[in-house]
Amino acid sequence: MVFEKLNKNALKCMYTATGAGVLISMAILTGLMWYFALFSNALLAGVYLFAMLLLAANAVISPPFRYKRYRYAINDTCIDLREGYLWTEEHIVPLNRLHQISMNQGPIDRMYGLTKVVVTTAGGEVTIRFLEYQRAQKIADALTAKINDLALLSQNGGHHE
Amino acid sequence: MNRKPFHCHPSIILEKAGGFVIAWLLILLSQADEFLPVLFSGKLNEITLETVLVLPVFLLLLPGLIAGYQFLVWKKTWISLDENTFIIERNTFTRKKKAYSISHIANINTEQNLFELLLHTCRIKIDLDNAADAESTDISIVLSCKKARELKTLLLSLRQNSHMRNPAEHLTETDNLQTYVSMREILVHCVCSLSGGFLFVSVLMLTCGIILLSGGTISLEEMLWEHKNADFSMKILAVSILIISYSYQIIRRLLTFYHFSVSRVEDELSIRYGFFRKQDYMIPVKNIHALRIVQAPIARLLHLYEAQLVCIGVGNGEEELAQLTLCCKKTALNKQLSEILPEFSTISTDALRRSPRKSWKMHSAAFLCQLCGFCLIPAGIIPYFFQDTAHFIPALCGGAALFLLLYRLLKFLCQGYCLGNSMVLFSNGSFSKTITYIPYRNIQRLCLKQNPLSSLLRLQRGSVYILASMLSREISFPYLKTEDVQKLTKNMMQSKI
Repeated sequence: MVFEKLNKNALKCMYTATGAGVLISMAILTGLMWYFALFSNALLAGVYLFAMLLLAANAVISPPFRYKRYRYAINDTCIDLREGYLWTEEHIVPLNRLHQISMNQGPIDRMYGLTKVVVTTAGGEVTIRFLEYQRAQKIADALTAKINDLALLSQNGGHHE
Repeated sequence: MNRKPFHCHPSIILEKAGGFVIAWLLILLSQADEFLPVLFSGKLNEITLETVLVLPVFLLLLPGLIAGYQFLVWKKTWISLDENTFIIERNTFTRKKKAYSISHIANINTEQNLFELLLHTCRIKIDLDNAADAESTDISIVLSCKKARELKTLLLSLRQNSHMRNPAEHLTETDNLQTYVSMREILVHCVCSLSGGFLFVSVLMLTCGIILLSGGTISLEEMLWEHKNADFSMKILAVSILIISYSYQIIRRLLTFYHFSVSRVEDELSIRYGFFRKQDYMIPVKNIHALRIVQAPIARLLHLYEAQLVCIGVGNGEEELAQLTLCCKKTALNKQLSEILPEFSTISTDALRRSPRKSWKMHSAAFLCQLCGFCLIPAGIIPYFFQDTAHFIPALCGGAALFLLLYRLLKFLCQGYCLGNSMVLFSNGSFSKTITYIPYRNIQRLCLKQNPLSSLLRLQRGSVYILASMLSREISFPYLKTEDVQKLTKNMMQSKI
């Protein structure tokens, strides 16, 4: 199986998305500490500082790792997607279980010209993220054609006409 | 049954409006002590005209409006069958027309609550075989029992495309095969299938009750008859309420499984049970996506097993249970399975293999993390904030640590798997144990998970996903060797839907 890797824009997108998430978490944490006047407690202030450092470290360290780990492969039988940082996940979706293909773009994706391809089965969906628009379009078209082929094949009792 | 458009049974108006009217009456009665003295005080002249006129008119009009709206909905809703489509059309303030393909009907169930039982009506619940609506029943209509039977028969015959047998024959055949379980078996099942969580809360409540009662210094007799301690009587009342509510749970379960019966006619399972709420399910075997063999904590101690189905349309709500067998011995379970559902009895649970031995290292690591999170860190932090708790923290944390150790040990012992030719078996649990049979063709996708330590040990765990309701869709499997994961993937890929 040949795995495809992501382009450089995906790394920028990961940095932006993780950075935004970390900033929101920091703001909520700081707001809670300030609202309940917990900064005066030395122990909690220490825990707060430690949490802030962890969040900042995550924003800097995790994107390159996730970028390096992220890969996907699509062949005649299945979609294989690998992602993660410390905890990794591998999603395997047989093509003959596909029900629906869709393409989505969030605001950060749009900034970098990236798109998600969402493949839906009867048991839930798997998302291939950080794809360039052209490539996503190509994948979506190929998968849709594959679904149609398989539907025709099953209608004909498993024989090509 | 003719195919002319028809309405639901008119009792649905009462059923839908009744709930609101009862709630409204209860609110009204709870406020009666405030407005009745005013009405009968003879000082009505002092009250403003708006209050006198508007309030009673509003109070009387509201239930009338609700009942009127429900009547309109009933009158303007038509149900019809058009070739291979089941159509529900509603034309009230808005216009809605929903057409359901009969070939996509997964199962047709009937249900009767007490009100419907008295009126000789029943509810037909139809589920379609799509994942989008797997959480709820797609179509639910109330008809008279006769009409419901006719509609069910017609839909069943249309679904099967009348390719085999006469539908009328089908129902009689099912009825002849019904064998009901005895009251003793139901009672055993109700007690033995109590979940771990229920037992845990019960023990906790019982402990609280004992602590509450031990606070009293006088005898029960003195308290009850001589009213020496009102506070103590409140404690007794609290404990009584607890006992009554838990007894109610058991009795409710007992009545749920009253007249439980399962039978099979060709490729369909008929499951019936219920006392106040009668359920009747017809489940095509091809729509059963997995089978669960469950052992609740008490059942494990007594070596009893129960079987549950995982399929669309049954088991969505709290009242709906996809129960295939009640708690019974292993030999009885195997016998029942081979008779009712031979498709899932090709592999015995004895074929289960334990998770690789090195997975114990993963459990040890998880135990250490949980020990830090739930025992050591709280033991350090709590006395810092609450100095007076310092004396009982070691005992509490020690107890929690022992519980965690027992939990991890049981979890490790419960985990197992078996990669058969046509299906895979996964065993999971801790205090309860669940063995899930999943045919490879029903696995929709696979998710494998690894962390740094499991990667080092070349172990993988994960989940398989099937077509089922949200709670049953994901079936996790324990740590497996990489070779076994590859075999599982290969079998899933090679299986045909």
